[in-house]
Amino acid sequence: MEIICGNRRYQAEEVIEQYSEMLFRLAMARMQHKENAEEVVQDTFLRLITYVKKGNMFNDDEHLKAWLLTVAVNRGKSILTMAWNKRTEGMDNVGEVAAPEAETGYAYEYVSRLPEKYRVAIDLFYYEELSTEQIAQIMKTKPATVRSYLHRGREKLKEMMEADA
Amino acid sequence: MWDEKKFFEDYVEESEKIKPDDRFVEQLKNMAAQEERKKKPIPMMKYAAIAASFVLCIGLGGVVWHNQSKTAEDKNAEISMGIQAGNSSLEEEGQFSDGEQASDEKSASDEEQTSEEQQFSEKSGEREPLTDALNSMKQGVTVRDEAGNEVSQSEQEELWNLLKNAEETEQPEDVVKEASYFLEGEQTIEVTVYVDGFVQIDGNWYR
Repeated sequence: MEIICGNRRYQAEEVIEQYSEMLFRLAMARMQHKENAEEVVQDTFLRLITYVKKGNMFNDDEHLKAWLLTVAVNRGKSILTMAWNKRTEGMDNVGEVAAPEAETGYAYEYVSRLPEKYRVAIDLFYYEELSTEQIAQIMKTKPATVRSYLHRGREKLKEMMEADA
Repeated sequence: MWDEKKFFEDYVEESEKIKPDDRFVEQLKNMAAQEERKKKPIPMMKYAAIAASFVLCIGLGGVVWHNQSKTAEDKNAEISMGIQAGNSSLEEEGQFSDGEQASDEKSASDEEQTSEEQQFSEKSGEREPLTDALNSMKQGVTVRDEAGNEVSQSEQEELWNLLKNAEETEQPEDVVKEASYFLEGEQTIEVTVYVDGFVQIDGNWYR
């Protein structure tokens, strides 16, 4: 199965190789739970396969990347909602500030303490280097709202660090 | 001391350490390979599917012809009793009815058909986009995807089942588009399918 991005064609394995880290990082920023993050990544790729099987294609690599990020953000929301509604075991872990398995560091830990929307906006802005317009499209909100998430996020980080100092 | 620039440089560096397990990435690749295999039908299955479709078409053609001639009088009676004229178009035989509806089981399928019709009528006192789309599919119009290709029978059935069970809903806050379909009847109806079962037709949302 080929994934067509403009005049480029990729095998599904290549796309997984290229984007699984990005999606996992975003999902971890959002879910803060490894298994839930893996579920988001897996579902996102499954939806990609279904989407491509139906004959859909992407204009270019950026289009594919934005599509994957959008689906991952939405899927994350569904999983959080499901966990909340069903009050499953997973819910106990949702929203927890779970320490990632790998040793991270002070900055990642501080960002992990922020509300979910701020974490996602910060990851997409600082790590993926997306514009606030692009983030707004992915998060289905307005660019001004994204700028507000970033501003409030920075304010909170500053407060937390100063309080700890 | 808060140093924003330094903080986010450190954040990016630390985020690099957040990676999925190699085992998990391998699982994803295996999953993709399995999904790919699912896609390719066995050649003999293809021929069998074509033959079955052919037999089904002949069977359905006969049923449609039979029903049209038989129910013409009933239709007139219903209309004269004040049943809405718009509902009459629903009385044609559906494209996706099973082949087994022929002859002996016809009465059972008629009952099923009637309950479906009632369901559509209850939902719509007047013509509404979902009913139009369902009627259009019942009439066996060509269904094309965004690329202009005719969609497969199985995909049409999926779409049919999705529409059949859909109910009007509020516009969702955030949805991701899966595909658009174009039902090429007298008027082309665009049906846009989103993830999580949301459907949009002519500005109306269903799920």
